[in-house]
Amino acid sequence: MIQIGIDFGGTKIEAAALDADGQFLTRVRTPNPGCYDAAIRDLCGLIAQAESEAGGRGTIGIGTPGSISPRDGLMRNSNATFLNGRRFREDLEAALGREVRMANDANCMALSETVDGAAAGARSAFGVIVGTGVGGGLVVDGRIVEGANGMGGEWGHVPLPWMTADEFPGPACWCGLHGCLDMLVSGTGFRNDYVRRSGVTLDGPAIVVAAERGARDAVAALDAYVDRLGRAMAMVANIVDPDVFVLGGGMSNVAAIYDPLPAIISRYSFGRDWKGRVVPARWGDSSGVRGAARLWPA
Amino acid sequence: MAFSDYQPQMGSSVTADERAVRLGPSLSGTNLERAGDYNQRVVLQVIRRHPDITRTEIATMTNLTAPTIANITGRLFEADLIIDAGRRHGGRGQPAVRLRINPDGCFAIGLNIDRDHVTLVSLDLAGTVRSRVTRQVSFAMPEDIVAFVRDGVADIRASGKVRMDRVLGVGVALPDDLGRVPMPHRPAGYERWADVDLQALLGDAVPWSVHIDNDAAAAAIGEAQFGSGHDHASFFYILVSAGLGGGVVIDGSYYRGAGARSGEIGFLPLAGEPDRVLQDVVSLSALSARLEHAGLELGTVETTQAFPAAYAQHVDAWLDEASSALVPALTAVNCLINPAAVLIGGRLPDDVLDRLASDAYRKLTAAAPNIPTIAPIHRAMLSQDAPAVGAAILPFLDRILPSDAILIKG
Repeated sequence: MIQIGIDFGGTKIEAAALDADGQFLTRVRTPNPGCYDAAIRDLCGLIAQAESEAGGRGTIGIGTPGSISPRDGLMRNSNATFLNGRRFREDLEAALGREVRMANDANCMALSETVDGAAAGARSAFGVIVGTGVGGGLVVDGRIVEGANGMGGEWGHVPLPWMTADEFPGPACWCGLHGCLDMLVSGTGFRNDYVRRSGVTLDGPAIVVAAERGARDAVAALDAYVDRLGRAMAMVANIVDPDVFVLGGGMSNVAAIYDPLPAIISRYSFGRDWKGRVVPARWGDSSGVRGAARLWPA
Repeated sequence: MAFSDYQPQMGSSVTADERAVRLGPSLSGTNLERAGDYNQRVVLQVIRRHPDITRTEIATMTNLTAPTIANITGRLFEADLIIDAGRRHGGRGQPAVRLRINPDGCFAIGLNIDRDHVTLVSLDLAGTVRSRVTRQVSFAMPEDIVAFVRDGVADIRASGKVRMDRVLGVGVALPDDLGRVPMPHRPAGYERWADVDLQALLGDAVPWSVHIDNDAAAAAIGEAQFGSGHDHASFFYILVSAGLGGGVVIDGSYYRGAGARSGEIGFLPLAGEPDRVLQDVVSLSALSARLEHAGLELGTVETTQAFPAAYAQHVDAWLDEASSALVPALTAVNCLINPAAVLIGGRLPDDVLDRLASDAYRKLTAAAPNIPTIAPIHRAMLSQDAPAVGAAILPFLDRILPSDAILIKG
């Protein structure tokens, strides 16, 4: 059975077709047109192209920014603001004449990694996406935990746990609260912290290189970052206790974070007895599109 | 340059006098920190004004080299400020990529505070007003403004129409002498406004930097960027607000004046009346006083609605007085500045502004036929919410679009 997965990204829309073994049959993409009707149209065209190149029809799954409210079926919290308040899934199904499954893109990443990625074989996994912002997704027994309000995995706007006096109350977040993880353990938060310490603006990789060379502010920023991320993950360990934490997004490419994280998580976890895996995603940027494909059974 | 947006005491103030370059939290740390780079601002402005433009066309317009433009557009793509609008076909070789502002890439919020109302709008970088809310309130106190902004921002957030993580800042437009100038019905305590630090006031309500300007200046800037600015590079803007303000735009740039008090036509003396000034006649306060005298109320005026019939004779009388009173000021504006046009805006129905414009023009040409030049007088394109929309543009101008200040900065 061919599984078509679509990653509805801010700048581009990508469709991929997977075969029964999870191999890519084809990958196609088109720029995000920036408005609703064109998006529906372009999606239909993209799916047709993918299926033509893959040599057959498939199931259709889509990963989107934001999510569908289980109460009213409308999209919300999407970075593509033209989706908000729309019946995106229904409208697309009407245009295609076929059933479509849809889920938040962070949730899709977690699902993909559970099926045949870095969390394969695990009973539960928490996807940690630390890029421009902070996203998350929880998968248990092969199913995404959407939650009663569709908020499952939305840990970006809990406050940094176990804040020190210096850290409190934390930066004001665009969501209206203070000290959110989105402002602190994202790649953006990492860069901002470094600027605050050093007065110098560098991009993430440059800060990491400086830390490797022993530059004091860079080392301090990286240490603080890992400690904060560890605390955030310890909080999840205390509540859900997943088998595996799978990391994606720009900061997941920093090799130096993986060694110290388990000890930090353990230190903050109840009983200090946590043992689990913290690993980078196997599928990288492809996890979104693969996870979307996996919204249907193979 | 210290990055102070990150501090618990959020944000900082950029006044009309100091235009420091700094980006919002989610846009910082990218190569956009070089937003101080004038060339980058110019390229962004060109793309904004000319959607679907190609890199080659940008080169022709700006005289920048192809590698420079490739470099700059690369950074703008990386920061999600521009998008690929698809390719233009025809001609030889690879179809050229067309560039457009990402409508969801960057937003700003605009607040207009006046003695008779308060307005909050949100604007995207491409120029679409995403939301607007106005509350008709007389002499709102600072605490009222904070409550209004808190509620307004929460509503914007709930609407899903704006990416709150891509808001660059909040622009605030208000009259310069909000607390100082005596106005009819001004309550005791309103003078507090003279001592208000707007950044401190709004710092709790919003997590973004605050950019402040005079309301007529903001309206003129809004008109220059989004309204008639496409047609007239130089114009004089007249804002009929609770008071009366003006703004001078020369070659697309707002001229601020040595003390940032240009355009203050409201303070011009009335011909033959030593104790009164122009804004005592040409203002919503003056119109309101007339209506009140007749037992009527000004109320909230929508541009789509004309005044009720009962108001007509009083509005007519006000228009007659106001258009006559404007003649000396307009004579001076024409002689001193020689603008391409005079534009009138304000929270009045379109037809009333149209009549004010045409009556003033007619009276001016009759009274001063021999002055060297008389510019046409029109209703401005951005009339009702002009100061709020102009306020929303201030964060863009301060940080990522061209403005004079960055040329002047050493």
